[in-house]
Amino acid sequence: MHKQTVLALSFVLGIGFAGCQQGVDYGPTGTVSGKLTMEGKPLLPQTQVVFMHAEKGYAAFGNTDSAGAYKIISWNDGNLPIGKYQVMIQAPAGSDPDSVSAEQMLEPQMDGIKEAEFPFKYRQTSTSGLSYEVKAGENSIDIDLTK
Amino acid sequence: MARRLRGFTLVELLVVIAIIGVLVALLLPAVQAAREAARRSQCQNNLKQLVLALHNYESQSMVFPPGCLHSVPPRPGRSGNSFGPSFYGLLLPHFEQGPLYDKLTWIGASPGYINEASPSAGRNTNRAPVLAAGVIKAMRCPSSAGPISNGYEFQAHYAGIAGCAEPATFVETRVTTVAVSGQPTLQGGGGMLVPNRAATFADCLDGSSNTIFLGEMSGRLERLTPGTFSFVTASGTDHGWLMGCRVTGTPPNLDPSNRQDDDRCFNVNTVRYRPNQEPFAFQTFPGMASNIGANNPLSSQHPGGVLVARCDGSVAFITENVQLETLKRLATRDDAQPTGEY
Repeated sequence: MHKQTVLALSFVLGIGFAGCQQGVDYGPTGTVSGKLTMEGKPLLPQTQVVFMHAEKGYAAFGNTDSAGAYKIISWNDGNLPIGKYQVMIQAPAGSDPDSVSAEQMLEPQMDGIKEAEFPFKYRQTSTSGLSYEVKAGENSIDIDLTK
Repeated sequence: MARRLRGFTLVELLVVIAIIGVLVALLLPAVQAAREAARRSQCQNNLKQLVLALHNYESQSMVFPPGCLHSVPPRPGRSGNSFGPSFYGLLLPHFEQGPLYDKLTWIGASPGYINEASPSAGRNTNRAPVLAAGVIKAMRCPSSAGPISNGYEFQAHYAGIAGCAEPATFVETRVTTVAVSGQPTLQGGGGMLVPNRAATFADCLDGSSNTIFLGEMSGRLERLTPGTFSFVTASGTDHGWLMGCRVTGTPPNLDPSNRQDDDRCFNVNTVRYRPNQEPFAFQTFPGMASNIGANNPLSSQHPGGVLVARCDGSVAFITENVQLETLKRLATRDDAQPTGEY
């Protein structure tokens, strides 16, 4: 009698919890950290390194410290699905887009956005030429930009 | 005949209440889910009506409307050209907004920008009827918690798909790079609702069921500062559904001879990021912005994805975990790549 009750209960609970599964299975994942430099020298701290999965489009970023070291942590606790990634580099984040008027946005250089120390081509994945394979486990990816 | 009163004990009552409580707790999430499902099908219906309107327009004119249009006269006190209407303006009579359409003009300065300075067609002629029409429900996703307007213009939740940028598996040359605050914003022209160009069915070489026409932009996106959000619509957060563009060309020649100081194209979208991509930050993801973002992600508050309308008139739900490359193939009318399952 008791056994039956326990079995029935666990069955009901099991079904209940099966419906509660959250999150997506991204398959094997890896973490990424490394050092970002331009011709050997670190860029401004808080320079953003953005990794985008070439086909799936998962995008995550991390900021550099004063020595140029970065760690990708912004998405899924830094666990990137393995595969080929394209990388773009963005200047330290300035002001918030919503606090900026249209006229300011149209200025070539907006208040708050630092003049980029690196060439424009690194700002988009199609021209940056930075492409890396992220493997399962820890990945150390050092990026050196050229002027 | 002794009458015996037999009530329930306290424990019995408590047990009954507890059981009822558990049952209600089980039911409540289901009720919320059912309500969301109803809102989603309403949203789906809106997209269906709009894509049918596009087809009606095509039946009448032999071409689809351009995604957005310019107007030749300059803005008051400025050089270049002024804001024409978006495709919504041209579509109005095809989704039961004929009376509003009849009151509007498309000639003069900024007919698409009702908050333009005077004297202009936008301010003097179009502003009053557009404001009187108020929120047009067919343009709004009922799941969105976003504001209906920015205080002076009402916004639409469905953007015309102008194409994609930076695809990985095919080449897209019809892209104009507009630097905004030093960031590369990419306005595409490989889709079906393109600035200043009317597409036809013949342009849709991938097949109308493999190309998307409209995509949902009704979501709530977290900004760079955690806990702050933007409700980004087809025209961003600062302008309305009638707003078109000032540029006169079509990507890759969006602004021939570089006449304009303003290359913004409203109510069209170029796919560059995944649906619901966060943070909503132009500093991190160039091309996103509240007043100018050609590459704002498609977004919605439906759990797990966005609704899109295809060129064949069907409406589909696309999960936010769709392969970005698949979405870019869908956004492009002639990439000649199979889309696969999505």
